[in-house]
Amino acid sequence: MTSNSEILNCVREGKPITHIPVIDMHTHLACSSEYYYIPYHTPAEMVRYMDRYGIDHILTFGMTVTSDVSAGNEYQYAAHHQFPQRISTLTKLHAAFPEDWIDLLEDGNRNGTRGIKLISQYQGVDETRIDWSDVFEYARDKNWIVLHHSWAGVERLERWAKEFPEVTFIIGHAAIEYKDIVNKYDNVFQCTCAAFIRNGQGGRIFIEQMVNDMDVEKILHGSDALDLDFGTSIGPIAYANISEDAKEKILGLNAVKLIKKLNWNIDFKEYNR
Amino acid sequence: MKFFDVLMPIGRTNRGLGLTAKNSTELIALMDRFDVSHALVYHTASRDSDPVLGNAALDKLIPDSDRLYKIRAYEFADVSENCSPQTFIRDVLKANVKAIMVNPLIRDIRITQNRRINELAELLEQRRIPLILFYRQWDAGQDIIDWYELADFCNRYSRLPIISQEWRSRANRPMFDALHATKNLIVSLASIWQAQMIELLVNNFSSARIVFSLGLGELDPGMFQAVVRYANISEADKRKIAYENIQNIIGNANYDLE
Repeated sequence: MTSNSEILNCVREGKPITHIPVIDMHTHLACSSEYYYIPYHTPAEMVRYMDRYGIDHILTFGMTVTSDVSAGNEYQYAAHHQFPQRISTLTKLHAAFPEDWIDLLEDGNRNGTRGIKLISQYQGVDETRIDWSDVFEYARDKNWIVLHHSWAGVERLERWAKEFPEVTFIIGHAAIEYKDIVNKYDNVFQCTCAAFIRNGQGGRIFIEQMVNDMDVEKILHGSDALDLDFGTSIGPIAYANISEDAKEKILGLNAVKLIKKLNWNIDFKEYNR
Repeated sequence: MKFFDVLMPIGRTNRGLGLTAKNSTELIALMDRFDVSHALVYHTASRDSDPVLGNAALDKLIPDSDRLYKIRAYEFADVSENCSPQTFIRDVLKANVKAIMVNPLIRDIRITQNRRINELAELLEQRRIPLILFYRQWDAGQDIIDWYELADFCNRYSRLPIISQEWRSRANRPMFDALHATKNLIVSLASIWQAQMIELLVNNFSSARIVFSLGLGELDPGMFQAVVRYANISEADKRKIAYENIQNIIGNANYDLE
């Protein structure tokens, strides 16, 4: 399946993938994380970096994860305002400070956020003890996405998906544990982010395992850039023993379909690469 | 563009991928699928657990080949004459081995303090045979290299090509310090997952300081080719990272039996 892959041919030549839309649903913009420096981090540099790979649009969120999240959120909003057709943002919350959540969401709403990023595992809070109901209630009528680093169990995510069918829930990192609810609920999606560190069964790489186990139309491409290089997400998809149709859907077509459903007002024809 | 993998494993390991090769036939097929033309090959047991038995297993599995070159691991805890660096290097040269590996964490030692490793490095430096320091704990490990100690070690043997590898070098600031403080420290791309680091390292330290690896057995083998191919660096620098640097290192080494 890989030998006639146009996507793999692009990757082998280091050429931008321009024959299909490429959307990255898991990225970060920041100058530094708590223990590493991030080079070439301005929004303009990010867009140039996207262009090298042929990435049309990114969904980005902050990296001041363990600290004050608003500093990181502001950086995302500024990037979105500078490149509204290339960069969308999610608003990050700090799980330890519920008293801040609604103010942060209102600030995000004023700045055109597409939803919410959660990462309680890095914030010293037991995810299973958090009640996100107020947050998801706020998101309910806004066509918002909620992407979580880890939903802490199938039952917990299923509860949210059932109670808030208007909200789109994304499993932020590559997994197959949630496959049954990804397949069952229209509002639950699976991201490929960091699939490269996981092992499939029977000699499969993990992307192949995901495609084997899940509705391929529910799988969304995500890289974790600027933490991880775009190559770490696009390369494994390009080389995977899956159909070209599956690669196209994962890399962008599924996200475009979701973006249209959520009325993001992005015209893919107007991109200037 | 084809690639020369400086750290291709053969054998199983904790957190390893199922498609990692168990024999040379599987290894060649894997290399062809992922655009790797040549590889320095080690046995996972020699890195993780037992250098002596891992080396023996590698010798059985890897035939003489113009695509596969052997890495032999050194058991630095054995101070008997049979394991002296002189004896080890003599055996290495007879076995057509092209690089030496030490995992400092297999016995949790300090490379600047271990007698045998320093004796070995001195002999390797005379021949410029590359030394690979592969820092790996049983659970892989992130940011487990002491970059300041590694820089001191590199400067002690300044003509010896020293290649570092760990599962993930995320805390990049001390790595920058080590690269700045040395001329012979070379980092494996497979340990550097972060966006656009290849550009930063080339722009600040030169493309000669990076060598290519797929990151097997723990990482999907389809990612670092893209990192190189899409990097915002010259085509000449891409070729150096992809295969020329390690070719030159091996080409400059003296493997002659005396």
